[in-house]
Amino acid sequence: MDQTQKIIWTNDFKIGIDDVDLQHEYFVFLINRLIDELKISDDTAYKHRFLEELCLYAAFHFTSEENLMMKTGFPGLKAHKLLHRYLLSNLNDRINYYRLSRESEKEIIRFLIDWFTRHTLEEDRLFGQFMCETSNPKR
Amino acid sequence: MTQTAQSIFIISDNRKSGLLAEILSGQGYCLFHASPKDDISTLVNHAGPDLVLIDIERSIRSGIKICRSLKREKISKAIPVIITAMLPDLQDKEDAFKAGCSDFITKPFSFAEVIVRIKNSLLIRKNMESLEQVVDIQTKQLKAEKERFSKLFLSSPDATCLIRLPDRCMIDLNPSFEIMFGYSKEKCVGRGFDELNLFADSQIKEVMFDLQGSQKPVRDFEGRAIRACGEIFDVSVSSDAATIDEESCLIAIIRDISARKASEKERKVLEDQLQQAHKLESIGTLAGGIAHDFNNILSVIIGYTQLAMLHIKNDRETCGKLEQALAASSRAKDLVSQILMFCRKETRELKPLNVQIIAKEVLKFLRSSFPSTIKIKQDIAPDCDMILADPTQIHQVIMNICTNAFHAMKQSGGTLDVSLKQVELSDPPAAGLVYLKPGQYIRIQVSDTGSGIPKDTLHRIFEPYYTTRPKGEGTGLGLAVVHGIVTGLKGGITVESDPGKKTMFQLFFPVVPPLEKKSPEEILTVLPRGNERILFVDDDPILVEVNQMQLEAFGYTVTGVSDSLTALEFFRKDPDGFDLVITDMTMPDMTGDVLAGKILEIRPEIPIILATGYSEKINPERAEAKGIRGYLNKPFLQRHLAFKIRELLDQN
Ligand SMILES: Nc1ncnc2c1ncn2[C@@H]1O[C@H](COP(=O)(O)OP(=O)(O)OP(=O)(O)O)[C@@H](O)[C@H]1O
Ligand SMILES: [Fe+2]
Ligand SMILES: [Mg+2]
Repeated sequence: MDQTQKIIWTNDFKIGIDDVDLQHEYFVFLINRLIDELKISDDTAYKHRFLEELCLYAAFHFTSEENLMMKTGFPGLKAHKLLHRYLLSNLNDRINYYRLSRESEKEIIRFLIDWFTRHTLEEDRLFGQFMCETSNPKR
Repeated sequence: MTQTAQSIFIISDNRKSGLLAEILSGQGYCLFHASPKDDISTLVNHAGPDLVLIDIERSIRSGIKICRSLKREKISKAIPVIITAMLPDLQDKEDAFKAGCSDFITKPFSFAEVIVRIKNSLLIRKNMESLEQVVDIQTKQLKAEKERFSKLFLSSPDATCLIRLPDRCMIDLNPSFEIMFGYSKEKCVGRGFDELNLFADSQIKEVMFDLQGSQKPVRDFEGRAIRACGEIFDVSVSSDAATIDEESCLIAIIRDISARKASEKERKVLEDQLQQAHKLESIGTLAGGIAHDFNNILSVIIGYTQLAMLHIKNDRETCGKLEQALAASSRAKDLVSQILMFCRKETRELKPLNVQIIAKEVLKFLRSSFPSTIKIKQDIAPDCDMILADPTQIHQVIMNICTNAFHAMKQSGGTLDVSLKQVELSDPPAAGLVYLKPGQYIRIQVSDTGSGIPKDTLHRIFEPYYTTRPKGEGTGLGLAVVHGIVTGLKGGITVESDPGKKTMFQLFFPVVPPLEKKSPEEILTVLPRGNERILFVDDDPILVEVNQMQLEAFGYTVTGVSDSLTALEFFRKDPDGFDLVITDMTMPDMTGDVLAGKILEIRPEIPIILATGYSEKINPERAEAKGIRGYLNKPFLQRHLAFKIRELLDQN
């Protein structure tokens, strides 16, 4: 599979928390858009700004998710927060690298897809399971 | 940047931030790396970086903690700390700044932003440092200046005070002020300047404060001030306006000039004394002038008297009377010498003489002039050796000492005791005589029972101008002259006084070895005679006549001339017609020494006797140097002349 292939959102991606799933879906939408934009546009400034948009959405989403974890007393919060920071820092570095032409668009897209599939589908699912167990379903 | 590279200490757990580091070192920074697990404070203190960058992804809290601990330590306190953080909440930011970080950078960030922020923090730090340095230097300078001024103020010998102008309130004053005026600082500060009554002359204050009007500082205004104890003293006041602590003030500097004034007074006294001395000198000059004529008159009297005595050799009675006249004339001659002595320093001819004779003479004179309240006792050993001295000087010495004794006893009366004796000095008897050589001395002891001399002034009595007598009466020169004469004769003088009881002066004169003794009084009739031809010159015709007669009586052929030009004419006409020339010194047209010179030009070997009265121009040595072989002091006695003539003629 072409690693820069777009992600097709399916219900399998859902972790069972409506707010989170909604954001995840939008994040996928953003990644897909990025793949298109990078291909279509040759306006560097715009491309940079679009990466920023993505980065800001990730930050928003992480904060939102962490707040929910905080509210529900999720025991894996600390580890999850670390993960978030690592991911965001990584993305931040990559964007800076990309701006300095030391990283390719392909590499960034690969990182984002990898991030989504692994983080969302594995780590976030732990939180979904916790919510399910503490009988705090679907909110 | 020419300075050494600035260094950044990066604390990071982000393995991937290699590019930021690369860019930073590309900017010329020197980088240190550490992980949050290291002993940060030790490492930072060791590296001494210019900035610490904390980039810990795992936990903002641990970054804040590190920052706080760095800020707590003295060495790292001043180092700026920048914290970067991922997804910080507002509390984190607040805490970070509270912990003392200089900047807080939230991710996502751009590297360029980080670099600029680092630069800014470093710049702020640098500027702060140089500002601190400037402030430090200025503070030090200010402190030094303040110290200098306070030292000046505190250690100045002048009383210095600060007065607030609007209300004339004393603000500050220095220790010299306290000492000079005798008021303590506590007592003065806060009080009105006018309350302290510092000046005896109200004018000082007027001048001091008037400066508001004239705007001119006051310099060395002199007047009188009053100490706390009431003592009045002289001061010189300077003052100037100044703004101190935003208040208009007056700085007053008051100098105690009483010592200077006192020394000015003292100088005035000295000047007066000097003037007095000048007065004496001019009296002396006047007396000297009179003395010349007076000497001539005396010479006439002496000459004629002696002539008369030759004529009536057999009339013993008349001869006796004439001898009295001769003696009186001698005394008059001495008096003239004494006057002359007073007005100039003469090179005196010292000759052996009997002191006891002079002492007796003085006492005889004193008996007739002392009041009956003063008794005179005398004990004079008759046969003493002679001393080498000038009779006039010895006369003066004894006279001065006895006169002082008289003054001391004038009020109360008493006894003057004069004794004269030859003594052997082996061990000097008193401190004042240590410099005397052991040997035979004539000791004159003069003691009185008058007021005496207090111990504390005893050492001053020989000082010139020291006198306790009222102005106009005593010159204070008496004992100074005595001292000068006595020491000039290699003698000594001592004094001891028991005020109210006894004051005693002791004079010591070394005796002449007996071999040098000359026969005393020669008798008139056995004077040497001769038949040579003499040219006698004197501007006084009477003197010429008297001397001509005398010399002719001795057998000589005499040509007497009363004017020097004629005399030279005579000699020139017949140079071989004379065997000896006697000439007066002071003459109009041509003085004696010039005449002698001209004569010697014609006949270099001819003996010439120069008779001088009061003259400062010539002395025996100088006369001799000119070829003049004989020299006589006017007025001269007949026997002096007779011997002198033979002395010169027999040399030829
Ligand atoms: N026999 C004395 N008894 C007491 N005081 C004396 C005696 N001889 C000298 N003095 C003191 O020494 C001072 C100095 O004496 P000196 O003869 O030098 O000067 P004078 O007597 O005061 O003045 P002048 O001699 O000119 O008249 C005197 O004024 C006096 O105070
Ligand atoms: Fe997520
Ligand atoms: Mg005297």
